[in-house]
Amino acid sequence: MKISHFIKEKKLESWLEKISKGFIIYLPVQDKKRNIIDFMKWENSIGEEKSKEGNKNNNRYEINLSEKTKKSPKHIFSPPTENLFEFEYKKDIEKPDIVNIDLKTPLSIKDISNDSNKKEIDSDRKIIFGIKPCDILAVKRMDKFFKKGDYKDPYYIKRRKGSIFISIGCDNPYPDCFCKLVGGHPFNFEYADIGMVKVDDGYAVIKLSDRVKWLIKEYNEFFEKEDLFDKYQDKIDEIISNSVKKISTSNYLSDISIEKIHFTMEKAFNLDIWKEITRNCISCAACTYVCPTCFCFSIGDEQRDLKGERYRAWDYCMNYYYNLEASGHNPRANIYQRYRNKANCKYNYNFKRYGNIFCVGCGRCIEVCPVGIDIREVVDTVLKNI
Amino acid sequence: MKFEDRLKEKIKNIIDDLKLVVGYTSNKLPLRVKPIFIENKDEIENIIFNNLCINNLATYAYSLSQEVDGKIGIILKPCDVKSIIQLLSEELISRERIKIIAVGCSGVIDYKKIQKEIKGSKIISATVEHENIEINTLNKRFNLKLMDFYADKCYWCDIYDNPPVYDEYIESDVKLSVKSKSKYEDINNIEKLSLEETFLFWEKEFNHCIRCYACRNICPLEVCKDRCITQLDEPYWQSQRITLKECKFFQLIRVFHLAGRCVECGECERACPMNIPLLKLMKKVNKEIERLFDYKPGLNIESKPPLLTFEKIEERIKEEELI
Amino acid sequence: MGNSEELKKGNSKEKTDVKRISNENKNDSEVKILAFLCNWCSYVGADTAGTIRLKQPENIRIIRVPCSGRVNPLFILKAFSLGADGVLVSGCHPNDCHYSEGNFYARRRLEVLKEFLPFIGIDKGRFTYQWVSAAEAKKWQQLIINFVKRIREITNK
Repeated sequence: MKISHFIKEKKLESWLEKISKGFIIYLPVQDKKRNIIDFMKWENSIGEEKSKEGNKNNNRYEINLSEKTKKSPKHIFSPPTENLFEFEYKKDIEKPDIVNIDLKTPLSIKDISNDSNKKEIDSDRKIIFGIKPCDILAVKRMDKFFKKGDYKDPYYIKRRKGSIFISIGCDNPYPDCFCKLVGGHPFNFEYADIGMVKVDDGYAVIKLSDRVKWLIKEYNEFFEKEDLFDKYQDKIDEIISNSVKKISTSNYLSDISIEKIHFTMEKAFNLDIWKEITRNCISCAACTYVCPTCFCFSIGDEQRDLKGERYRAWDYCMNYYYNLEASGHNPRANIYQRYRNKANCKYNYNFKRYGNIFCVGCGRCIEVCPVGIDIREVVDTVLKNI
Repeated sequence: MKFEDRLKEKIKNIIDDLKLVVGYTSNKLPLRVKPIFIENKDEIENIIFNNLCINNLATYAYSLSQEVDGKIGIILKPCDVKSIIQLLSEELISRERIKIIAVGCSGVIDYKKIQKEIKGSKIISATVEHENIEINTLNKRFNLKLMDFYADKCYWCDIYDNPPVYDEYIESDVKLSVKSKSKYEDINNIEKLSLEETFLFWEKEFNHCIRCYACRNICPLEVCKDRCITQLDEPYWQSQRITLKECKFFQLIRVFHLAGRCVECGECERACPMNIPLLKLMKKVNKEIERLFDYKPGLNIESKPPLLTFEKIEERIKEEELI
Repeated sequence: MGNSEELKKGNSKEKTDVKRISNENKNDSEVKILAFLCNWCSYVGADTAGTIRLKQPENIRIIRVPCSGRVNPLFILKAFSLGADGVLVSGCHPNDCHYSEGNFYARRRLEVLKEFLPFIGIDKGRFTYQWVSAAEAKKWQQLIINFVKRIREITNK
């Protein structure tokens, strides 16, 4: 992999500050007050602190490009709640039997039309900086659900259009990362616009797609000259292979073929072992809401007097009410049934529907679970018990 | 015999009468444990008990008593026994269904406190020695004093070797020896702020709530989680949106649902993925109830919950005169 | 601690005007008060006050409940969240409850709620619970006048 550009770490923030004038930038920020690392907008976190006078040492927000964020970046494209449209009944005293409805939606005609010829970047330009390869792969999976199915979701498409991904590969993965076991790679820049590797005191750009070349060319003052590249070039292969070695050692899922996993999960459906290994589960939504590929949502209408809204909000399949039918019957009344559905949705059903398993191996569900459920362990145990 | 071996021995002796035993076992993630459900003798090997066992296993008491016939044994620290006592005093489970296997405790380490100390970085590995913990993150190594990182409730615990009720009791090897702190210090600090500051403090905290219901589902006393009023269509108390206003209202529903019942085990705060200080709300209500009605939840099976009884003359209530 | 400016720009899903507690009516110039009155005593008292034409402020909306013991503390919190500036609960005098004991339970619950409100940043003075009997129309008038005055002071401080 050849280095095309190199930026030193201390110049990174200045580059981002310059770009932030024309783009909305999302980046992983460590909030020292809340002790959480999450994707935040530049202007709400670091950008805001830079614009204030005062003590620079006590900053609350700091860029953190080496650690994994607590929540995934899916809230950028699919927010927890949004209004689909607002309606108002309009009555006229002169004509009492006619009722008009006024509809307001955040979309425009341009958004709803199937104009897929537009290749240029939209005016709502966003850059997602510092996103890891697993999360980009997850966005691609979500695209299959929102953009390529029978119904193309205009709200998601509007948010997704023209987004630029600047990815930084994982040189030091965590013990609970397992992207390699589900067909990913810590330096997979196939879907990224710019791919960077951390080497010594800066970041080497090893992938640069044509449509964003100007992002580096026009800001050349922050990047290093070419003659320095040789000393970094030799180290890149070693960094990549060390990272791959670290992430491939795992006790779980190592002898399972990804192509066949949907078939074996299907065979394992009626095993009793599901009841035993999911006993810890308290059926909350913590794993669902931090997962980068869980996409389920629920729609509701609310009206007061003559005005109302239709909204959608994240829903979770571990919810007792998720499958409750109007008759009162609940086909998944027990926790083990709901967890079995969740594991199958990730590794089986979505493979059948879209051709890929939807788990990208980010490991956030394992970190966040309050009772220690590990999806790798569950799937591994089940498949060994066939 | 070592403590853990004595515990395993005791379980071996009693497991024949029990349908199930709930205990702790080791977890691959550093500084954490997870629950294990044992039905026969050969699984007893996997039980552990050490100062990482912060989980409250009484979470499973109610749901197991509904699903499983026969007696259920649960390994409980004395603070967790209080949850069972509260469930018994409200008659949500019956005494003969639960076998309380109480263990003497010498304090538990709160991994969330350690995460706070290292500003949210991931703990890759950790080694616990007698007085120190060594933490390795991706880039740094930290050496911390064990004494400072016990769970808050350990600093004012007075029942660590004296559980209020038990069927079996296994005494601990080590005494709890932490410097005691005032229980309501953090509540008093918030009360000193002005109204506007307090309002903004809570708005900022609830801003991060994603309404995952981890706090509600892990609470041992929230037995109604499958019929929760915040998720019902009829009556439609609450919108299902995930916004500041709705998340705040949901948390206030929880506070009043647990008023006078919360035993302050701290599981809700531990389970929250967004690090919201939920326990402060419960402690405030408990503080008021203790002051007004002289009642502490979780200590006595016979006592009646204060909000389900009344006195004709309330000595400590000073009513307001507005006319 | 910070001011409301920070909230507007952060990850906040909505910004709230601190003085009015909720966004619902921050543009209204007049305060809105919700009252829960027990059917047997307070509601009759308030009704009588209207019948004998006692002058009262118009900011109040009344919800009739069978007994003050019917009032769940969550009703009051929901009222605040939907835009009420003040909430009032009134029932029969203790020992005179139509259902014998309802107001004793109410007294306990509402006292806990009252002590809890400042902890989430709502002024204690925005909520009160009183005992007004069916014969005390004049007392009702005085109560309403004083309460509205107090809420106006708190809101416009």
